[in-house]
Amino acid sequence: METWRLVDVEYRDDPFMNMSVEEAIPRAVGEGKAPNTVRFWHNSNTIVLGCFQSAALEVNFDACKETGTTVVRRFTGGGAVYHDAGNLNYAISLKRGHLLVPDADLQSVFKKLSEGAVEGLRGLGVKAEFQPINDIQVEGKKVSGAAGSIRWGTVFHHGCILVASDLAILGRVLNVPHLKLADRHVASVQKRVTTVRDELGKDVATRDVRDGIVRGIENSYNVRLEDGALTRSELSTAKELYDTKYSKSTWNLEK
Amino acid sequence: MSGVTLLSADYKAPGGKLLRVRLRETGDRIDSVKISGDFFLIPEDSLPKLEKMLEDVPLKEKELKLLVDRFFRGTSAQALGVAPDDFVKAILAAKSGGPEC
Repeated sequence: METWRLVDVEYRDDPFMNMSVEEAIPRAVGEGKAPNTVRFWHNSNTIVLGCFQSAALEVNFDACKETGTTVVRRFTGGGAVYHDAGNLNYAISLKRGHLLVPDADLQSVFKKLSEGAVEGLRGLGVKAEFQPINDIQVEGKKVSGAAGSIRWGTVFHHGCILVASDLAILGRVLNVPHLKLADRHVASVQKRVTTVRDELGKDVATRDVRDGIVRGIENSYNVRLEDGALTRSELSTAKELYDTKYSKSTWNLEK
Repeated sequence: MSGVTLLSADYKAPGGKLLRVRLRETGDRIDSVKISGDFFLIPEDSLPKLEKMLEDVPLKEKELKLLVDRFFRGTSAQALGVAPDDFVKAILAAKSGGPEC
């Protein structure tokens, strides 16, 4: 059975460093300097923009100031998401050519690499289903969104799972275009998303969801996840990315 | 000499993602264009190349389509959530939408 590295490396109060690590891992995996890896992590109040999004159009900066919300841009496409302590992030980095995702086709990657999270959520009692293009839904409501890329010799997929997020803040800090809401026939962000807590009808710790997703990944892909740490090289890359990219407003805000 | 007009449009691809176009038009040609949105495009750094290629192209469907097709063939870029034609439609929507309010 194949073994993948499992890392729980996070900087809860430093979303810029979290995003730097998020890029350092797939770079190392692609270069053969690190094994295939699954990472779990949290951010405190943060908007994470897709790499093609305009900060000026998507972000309500006044609401961010009032709620202490930071804005950071990721290196993958897709839409803006709101992270807080009730949001669990996971990322899967597989060396390009891996048998699970042999085709260089992003839609296939989203489908295949969402299966572990779907299986994990179902194991917890959430009726989760993958919904193309890049969502996991429960009866039409989004509980998780994913993004990804095929880059640096790596197939990369990451997603955020709304475990117990504050949906009221989410609705304030993001300017969701009317076109996007109209397309889904719902009136607001809060009404088209849900949380694991709401679906289960009880409080649930992100740690328990993380453990469920670990089991879901192991079962779905027939792999074993083994606790590991970042290499010195990955940490050094992350620090460099922090200094040159993710801590800079030129990267985060000027698109 | 023609003046510069700022045009904008938000265009939702059918069943897909949003393209948000902000462009400067001079004499029925694209002076410069910024495309943003929640779509996927790999390699990610190819988007600025498309924006650059669109400069000085007439705001006409045929010319835009030729250019966008050339971009996707030449770069082997892969879009998800939007088709190549959606870039053309989004830009034309900015033109028909009139000046930015």
